[in-house]
Formats: sequence, C-alpha cells, structure tokens
Amino acid sequence: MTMRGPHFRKAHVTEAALLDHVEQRLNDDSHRDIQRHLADCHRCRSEAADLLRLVEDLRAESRDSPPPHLAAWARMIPELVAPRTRPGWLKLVADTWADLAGGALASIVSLQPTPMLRGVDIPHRAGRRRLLFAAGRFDLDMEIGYPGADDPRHIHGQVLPVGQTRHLWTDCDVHLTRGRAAYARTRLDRRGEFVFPRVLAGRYHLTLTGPAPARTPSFEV
Amino acid sequence: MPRPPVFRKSTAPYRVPTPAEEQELVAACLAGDAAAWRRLLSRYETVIWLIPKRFGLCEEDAAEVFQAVCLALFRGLPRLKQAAGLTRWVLTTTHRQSRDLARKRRREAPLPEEPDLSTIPDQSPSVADLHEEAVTRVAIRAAIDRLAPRCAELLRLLYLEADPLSYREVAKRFDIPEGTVGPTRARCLSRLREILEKELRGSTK
Repeated sequence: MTMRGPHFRKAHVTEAALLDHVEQRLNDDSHRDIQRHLADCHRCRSEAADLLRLVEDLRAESRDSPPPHLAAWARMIPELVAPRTRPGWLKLVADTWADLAGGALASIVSLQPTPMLRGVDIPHRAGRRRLLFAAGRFDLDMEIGYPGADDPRHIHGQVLPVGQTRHLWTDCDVHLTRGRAAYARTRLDRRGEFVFPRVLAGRYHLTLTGPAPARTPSFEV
Repeated sequence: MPRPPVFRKSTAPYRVPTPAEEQELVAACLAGDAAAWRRLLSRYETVIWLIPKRFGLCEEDAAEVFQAVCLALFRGLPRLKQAAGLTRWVLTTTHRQSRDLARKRRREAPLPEEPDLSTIPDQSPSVADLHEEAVTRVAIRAAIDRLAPRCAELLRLLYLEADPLSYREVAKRFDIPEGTVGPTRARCLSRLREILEKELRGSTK
C-alpha cells in the first residue's frame, strides 16, 4: 500500500487528491499510486465513491438544466405576470374615457421589447412567433403566424393595460410600416385587438395612434 | 376525487429542505422579494426541466411544460404558503403536465399499423420513480444555496454551466492564481458535502 507523497496523509489519500483522482486531473504516476492504494484501502475507496457521486450529481445538474433563455424568462415571471390584471372591458372603457377627458395621455411612448410570456425565444414554433412590447402603462402582445415558408404571414396583436392602469385603447389606428413606407393600416377592435392578415416577409415597425401614441422598435416578419 | 400520489420510502442519500425553510422562501416570494423567487427557481428548475425529458418529450414540448409549471408555481404561491412539501407539489404538477402532453403527442403521432394497445407497455415514469431523483436535485441546489457566494459561484462555473469553464478561465474570472483554483474548489466541494451530510442527509419526510 503506497502511503507516502503529497497526496497522502496519515496513511490515507487526502480529500483534495481523491477529488483530483475521480476528476482525472492527476498525472499518470499519481493516478497509479492512488489506484494502488484504493485497491487495499476500504475507507479511501468509499470516500472516492462518495466524491464521485457528488461530482456526477453536480454534472447532472448542468446536463439537465433548462436552456438559459428559458431560465432567464422564468426569473422574470414576477415582473411579467403580476401586473397583468385585466379588468372587464366596460370598466376599462369608462376609465379610459375618464382619463381622456382629463387629457392624461398625450406624448408618444416608445415601446420596448421584453421577453414574452410563452414561446419565448422559440421563433416560428408551430408556425408562429410571439413578441411582447412594454410601454409602462400598457403592453402590446403580438403574434406572427407563418402558414408556410413562402406564404404571406399574418400579424395578430392586442394592447393590454398594465397593473392598476385601467385604460383600454379602442379608438386607435395601428400602422404597419416597412422601412419608411406605410404598408398597411387597421384599427383596434373593442377588445383592443388588431389583425394584419397578409404581410410579406420583411422588417417592419408598428405605430399606434390615437389617445396613446406609441411605436415599436423594428422587428422581423 | 383523485388520490394523492404514493411516495415510497426514498433511498435518496439526501432529503429536501424542511417545510419551514420552504415556507419562509415562499413567504419572501409573496412579499415581492425578487431574489427569493430566483432562489426558489434555481432550486426547482432542473426538476421542472428534466421530468418532461424523462417522458421523452422534445425540447419544444419540454419548454412548454417548463413554462406552464413555472407560471403555475408563481400563481400558486399564495396557496403553497400554507402547504408543506413544495417539492411534492412541483413534482406532481410537472409530472401531470408532462404525462398529459406526452399522451397528446402519442395520439397525434401516426401509427404504421393497427397495434394491439394491450401489448404496448406504458413506459412513462411514475411520480414515485422520479421522486428520488427530484429529491437529490433539490437537495443539491439547496446545499449550493447555503454555500458562501464565492464558493457557490466557483462551483457553478466549474460544474453547473452547460459549458464549464477551465481552471484558467475561472482564475481569470476570480482574479486569483490558476494554481489556487483546484484547492479552492476542493474546499468548496468539501463544504458542500458537509452541508449535504449534516443538514440534508437521510430519507425524505
């Protein structure tokens, strides 16, 4: 039984050396020395087995961890989900008009992209892709449908109030712009939704006019 | 009324954190503590991800289950505050979601011939099958959570990353000599073992 050298203390292999051994970080000579010792020493063998299991358990953690983008999305759930309470639309309309009468909404808001709630970073999943833009007082939830590789896409969106802000944008135009050219225009319906049924592939941005003017950064369709 | 899952006596070397500790974490989440939510997730995200994979679901379907369970977990926190056994809740919820989606996918898949369904064994893992693995994962995450931040970060970079860093890269990140990385990681692992053995050892409650 080998018991001398930097890897041994009091007739047993040190924990650090056993760890290097199970992780195969030792040179051939040291590895052989420890291997020989383990053949005769039950205590060190058992210790090595425990360390190996721990290292394997840790490595399994990395193997079975969710993809980083999903983990990042999950960490943001409190920010994304908690404020998204949606009061009844009649109440929303009443509140909106009350705010409008008070001239509360005026300046153009720049919408910022945020991670979406579902299908995050999984583009073209099952023929669709979702984007969520936030503007503080409301969110724009948008889905781009891809029926086929060369078919025109469709864009369906909804403007959602955030938190205690009880506005519903119904009397509002939605402009789809490609580069600098106006591409299509539609109107929000009474639920704050809109649809562009046929959109060719390209880079676009959306502008909401009316009581809460806002513009998205450009996005790929 | 559905019967609660039966848990056989676990042979896992570790046990999950105590209900009191879990409830404390849940209470902090409910109080709006973002760091507590991140800690809670880091403890359970591997379990939530690996179960749909054990059902043979593809990456996209596993992502769907993962998102649904994480959302359900967040929305269910007010109810979980009173309940012991967060691990069991996560395990059974993820198992149910994965099982339902796996069944749906099987129904959608075209079959080559008319099979005799009675001869096809159901190879879906049961809750009890997954229990031991889930307990081990949660215990390890909880133990890492109890390490000093520097140790936890070092182990994360060396073992938990999808693409673990080399000693040289870790040395650069921590601004320490490369030769000290090995001994430091040995001390951190030793402390991790100590936590697992002294605080999280034994069968589940």
